[in-house]
Amino acid sequence: MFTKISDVEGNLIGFSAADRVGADGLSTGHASGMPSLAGNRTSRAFRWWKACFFPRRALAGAVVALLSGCTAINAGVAVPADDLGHSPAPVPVAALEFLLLPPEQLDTLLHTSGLVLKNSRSTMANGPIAAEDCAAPFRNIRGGVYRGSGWIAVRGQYAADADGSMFRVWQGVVAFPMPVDAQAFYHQQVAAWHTCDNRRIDGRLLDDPTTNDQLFTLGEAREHDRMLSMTSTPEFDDGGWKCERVLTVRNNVAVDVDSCTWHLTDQSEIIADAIAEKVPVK
Amino acid sequence: MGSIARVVRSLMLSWVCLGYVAACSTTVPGSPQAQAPRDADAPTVASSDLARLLLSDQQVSDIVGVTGMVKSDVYSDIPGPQGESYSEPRCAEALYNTMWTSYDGSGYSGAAGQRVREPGDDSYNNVDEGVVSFPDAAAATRFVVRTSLEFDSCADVHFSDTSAPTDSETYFWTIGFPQNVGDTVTVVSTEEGQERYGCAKAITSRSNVVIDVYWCAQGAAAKTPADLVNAIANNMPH
Repeated sequence: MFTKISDVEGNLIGFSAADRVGADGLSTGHASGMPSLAGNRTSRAFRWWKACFFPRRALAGAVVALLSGCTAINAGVAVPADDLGHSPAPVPVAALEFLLLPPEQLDTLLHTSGLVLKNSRSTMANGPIAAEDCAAPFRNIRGGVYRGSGWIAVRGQYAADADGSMFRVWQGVVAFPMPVDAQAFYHQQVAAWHTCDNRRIDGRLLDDPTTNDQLFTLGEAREHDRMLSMTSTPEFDDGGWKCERVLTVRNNVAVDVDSCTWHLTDQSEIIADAIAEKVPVK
Repeated sequence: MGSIARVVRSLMLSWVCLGYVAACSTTVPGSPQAQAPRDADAPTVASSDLARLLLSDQQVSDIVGVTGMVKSDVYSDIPGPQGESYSEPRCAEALYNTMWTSYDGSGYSGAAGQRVREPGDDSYNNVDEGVVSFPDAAAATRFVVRTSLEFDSCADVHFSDTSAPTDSETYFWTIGFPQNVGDTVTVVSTEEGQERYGCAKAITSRSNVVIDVYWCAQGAAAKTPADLVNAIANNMPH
């Protein structure tokens, strides 16, 4: 059986046999942060085409040949992008914490009851784990993972049921200067997580001599709808306790989520989606 | 004749269309940068007189809106390397000022500057004001233009600055996009993980002098270093 352990703030955060000490995570919403000029390009291209093509049919071939180097004509209907061709205004640091979901909303989303906020943080989790190269798909908002990415600010919360024995959620949001920086971080993480596919790792905190080995088996990194995810299963599985990390980005914000429960399905993705939906993109 | 005229018209039209579409040009917002020497007719400033152009502690305090700023370091040449290393040395000048990485080999003839900071160990608010002389106004203008082109290529670069091996701390920055405030080029950069803390730098030239300053603080914006540059410019002889 598991023995409950607490984090540095005195809150229950895991089981010593095979659970976590500390938690960080990040995830981001949808990948619609890039500017789109689709609508404008359509109208400008049409004006060129009309001016050059209709007056002199004899020139059409030559003009089309010249155009072909620059323009691709596709079938379909042009629709304006959500951001109407403008890069969205980056989410300011002051708005970051409001993206996190309160426990009542988590209960509704996850069909749980009695989740309570255990602690909040505005710093990354630092201190390496034994398998530091796989810290990213294992725990959220870790300093070593974000180092050098240009991130500006982080907000994180840990919520769980009363004794943390049924459900635990670590939500994290990380602001970058610009959407392009968040996207770059996401793409780098997609590659990094895959290097940990099916790895057996030790999550022991190297800086804390009181912690024991925490052996987990990672799943395979999956990506769908611009959302990166990976599961981890404690080696001393006692009936289906499992965790899932999820990372996604929207605008300049990375949404970095971790959750653990019995019979886990896609709870982390549901949480990350709900946070990402709150990130303004216009 | 008529058919020849039609062919000529067709050819003319085709060249119009060619010019219109073949370049696939993109128009971007921005202001053209002055290439002509600035204040070329103003008296040149001798290297030995550069320090007189610098702002007093009180003037700096008034401009940045922080009371009691005090001088902490004074230099009379471009400060050389202190054992630090940069991820992209060419981008160091986009973040800081009077950087040897940009001035070495530029042909500058003298430099003077000082760091002015808010007192207190826990304060990171600080200004570095520097003035650098060149042989003539054209050379000073050329340096500013060349440097600002370098800023363009450093925009959004994730830059790191590692101090000398004794403590070897690394600081990560995201270099901002350069913006012109009048004829002054500014860049606002943010430090990784420091919420709203950043550094804003500004550079311009007057006569044969390059005026090069930065201001680091919570929420640092371009206006403050641009105001510092203008105040120094007002000290130039006319």
